[in-house]
Amino acid sequence: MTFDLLFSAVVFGFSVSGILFLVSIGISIGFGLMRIINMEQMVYYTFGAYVTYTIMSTTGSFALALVASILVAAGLGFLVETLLLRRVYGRELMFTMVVTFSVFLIGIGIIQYAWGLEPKPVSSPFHTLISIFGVKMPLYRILVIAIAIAVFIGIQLMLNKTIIGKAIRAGIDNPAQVQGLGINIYRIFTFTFVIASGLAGLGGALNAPLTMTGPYMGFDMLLFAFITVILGGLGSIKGTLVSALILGQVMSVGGTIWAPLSFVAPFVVMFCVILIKPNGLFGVEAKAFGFE
Amino acid sequence: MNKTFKGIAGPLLLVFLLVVARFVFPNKMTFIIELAIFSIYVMGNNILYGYLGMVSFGQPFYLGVGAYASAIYLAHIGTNPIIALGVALMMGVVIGLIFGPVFIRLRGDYFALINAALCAIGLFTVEKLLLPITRGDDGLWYRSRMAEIPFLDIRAPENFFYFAIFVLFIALVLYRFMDRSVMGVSFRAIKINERKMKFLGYNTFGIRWIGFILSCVLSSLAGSLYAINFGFVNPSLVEPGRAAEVLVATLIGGAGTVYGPFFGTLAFLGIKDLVSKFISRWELVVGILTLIVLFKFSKGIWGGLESWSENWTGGRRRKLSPALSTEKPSQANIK
Amino acid sequence: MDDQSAKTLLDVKDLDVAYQKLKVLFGVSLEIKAGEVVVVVGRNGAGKTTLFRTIAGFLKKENGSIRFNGEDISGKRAYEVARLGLKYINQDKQVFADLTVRENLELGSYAINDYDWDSVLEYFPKLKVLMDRKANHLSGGERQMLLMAMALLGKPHMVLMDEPTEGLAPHVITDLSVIFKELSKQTTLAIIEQNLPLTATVADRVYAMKEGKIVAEIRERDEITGLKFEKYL
Repeated sequence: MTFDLLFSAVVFGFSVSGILFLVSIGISIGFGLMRIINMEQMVYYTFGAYVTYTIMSTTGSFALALVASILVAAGLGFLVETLLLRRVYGRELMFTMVVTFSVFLIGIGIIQYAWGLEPKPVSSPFHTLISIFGVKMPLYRILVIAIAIAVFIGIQLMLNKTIIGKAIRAGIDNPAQVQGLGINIYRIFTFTFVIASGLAGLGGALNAPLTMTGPYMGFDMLLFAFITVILGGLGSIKGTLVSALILGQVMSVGGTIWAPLSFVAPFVVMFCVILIKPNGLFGVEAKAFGFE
Repeated sequence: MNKTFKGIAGPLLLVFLLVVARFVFPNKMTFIIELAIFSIYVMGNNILYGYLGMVSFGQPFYLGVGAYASAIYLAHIGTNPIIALGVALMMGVVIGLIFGPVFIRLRGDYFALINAALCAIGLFTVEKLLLPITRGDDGLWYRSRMAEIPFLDIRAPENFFYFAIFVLFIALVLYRFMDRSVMGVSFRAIKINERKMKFLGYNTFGIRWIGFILSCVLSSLAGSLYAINFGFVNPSLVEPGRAAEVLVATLIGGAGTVYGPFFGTLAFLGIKDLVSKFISRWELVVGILTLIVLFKFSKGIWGGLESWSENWTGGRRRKLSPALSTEKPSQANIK
Repeated sequence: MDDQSAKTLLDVKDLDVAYQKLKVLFGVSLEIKAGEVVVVVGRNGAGKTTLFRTIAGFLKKENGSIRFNGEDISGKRAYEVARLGLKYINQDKQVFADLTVRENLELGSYAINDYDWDSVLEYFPKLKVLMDRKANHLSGGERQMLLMAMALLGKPHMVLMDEPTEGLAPHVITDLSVIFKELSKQTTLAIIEQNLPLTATVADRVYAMKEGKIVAEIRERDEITGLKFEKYL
């Protein structure tokens, strides 16, 4: 393993981490705040990729594609949250899991209707290579990393500096009490959900040139998203970040050593961690919902 | 004697009806075979979900374990289908023993997710990782290698029918026995309130482990039957997307009941049969179907029938819990 | 305080509340007039918390009516009730642990748009020096004060307090009973208490609850101070 190979694998790994973070953060926060496991996160991811495909093939503008993907994904998230998820808050976790999984299946079905079954390749907006430490790397991957970092900083700023971010943190802590202060917590749920689905859509858009865009792409990503949140611990943003970083490296560097490792290694890592910490690295306890 | 008869009367009747149906609708024989096999698969999931309250989004993995165990045996090692069945059952037990302790400790949502992850890994394993052995997407073919066994040449579909029905019968009898035994009651008690069971001195971890193993064995059994019936397997058996199918069938039939799995399977496969003539996008239908069942029919067919008949006869039998806890949590009363 | 002409602020009639199939409140009726301090006493499990939580909008009623300021609030969500000027302070003394005292107050001010912290903090001068401390580093008494400060934002008509003195040291309880007296001049208070001597000091009227029902209403001053209501529990 030469330095070049290792270095590019590490950077590659960070771009994978970025995508993982974007698609997983929604599942993690969804649990922390609303006590639901939204399995249909990958619908927004898939829509993000497909919208990118459509916009790219019609206008060729990647920037436009990104914006459109986020908006479509967020819009869908809004619909799902207000129409369906509102009715399942406070129910058993399992119930919401099966409900959201059903929504996932329906979403896949809709995508199949709208775009058909064949994969839709999306080409990278630019193929420039840049040189870091003498190693040539695709600029696009660096862009993905940069965007992921920006999103993380944005989330941290929002949570710590804005009132709604504080309300979200309070809601994760004690949703009943937040209501008791006169704050409409359901609006906060919707807001959070829309952001989460928008981020998943962004993840899908960014990943579209890097992977195969097909109706079932959500399933593959779902696996990794699950591993990310289980490893990091549901409900913890820090956990999702750390987990995404670890898994990105595992998949990338591991895959460079032996290709199948990129698939199997994350699972093994997660498996080993939960042997010791069944709630993940930074998992929060599944407190009761609070609206009892 | 009387008790034993009572124990097998139900399953016997059911199986008898299936045999009758096979002759009344000869072109539906394959459907009935699938019905029998899928019922066993659903029974496995029912132990996890209906009795123990543990959701798994990865049941296709355990189905695949049984299917591929038998398939690999028949393709590479031996020719006797019955031994292949035994191999599959053994693998089911082994998997249950290995994964049980790790998975059982997890709380419900992690358990569900990790099973989903396991299923995806399983798919990857049979599709790519073990390509030389499993032949990946091409599928593993071994029908020509299967040998005749004494009494019944199950290579012929007509004969396999009887074999499948027979296995279903045995499974139902044992299942019913489990349901009425202390073990079955313990399962359901754990679902209602595990902490209390612990206080009463029950080793809930061990009991759940046993339930998990039983579930693995039933799923493997079903997988093995598929493998023997088709004479080939391919990775589509293990697709994570199909995790919902077994869940829906469990829900439709009524979780936590003995005959629920059968009726749920009947309804599910019946609908699938009907709908696939018109709609090719099966995922969509499964998704919508699940939502409808979840929101409208919380008890499922069999569960609903049971409680209806109870109200009618005025009796309150040993029903411990709602058939499906889509009822709001014990703190209930949420606005 | 016991003025018959004072208007009725909270009017609960024949309230039934159930958890799934389990009924816990049976035909509860009570009335609270503006300016009063009403205490609800009862053993554990009598249904006091259930009653308050239903009034505050966290639980659904099966039957009966709840009117606040003449308005039917039984169908309203908890945050709507809070905005109408009826605040509820939980029993478990949970503040938002991860946020500072200042941030906790910010949240309290946000929905009802009352940033006049000075008038609220007059009752709790101790909080003024703790503004930048994380809420989970406060003592039990300080937390209770913070919760009360947050509830008082927006100048609510009435505050429901669920066992405010539970688990607190005696001198803190004494401080609180003084604060309650001061508060009652501005806001109507309804308090759940197990601390009977404290009840005797602050209450204008006492309701006794047992097994989901109101079993007694005590108005006479000497009966309250003499703890005569104990026999109903």
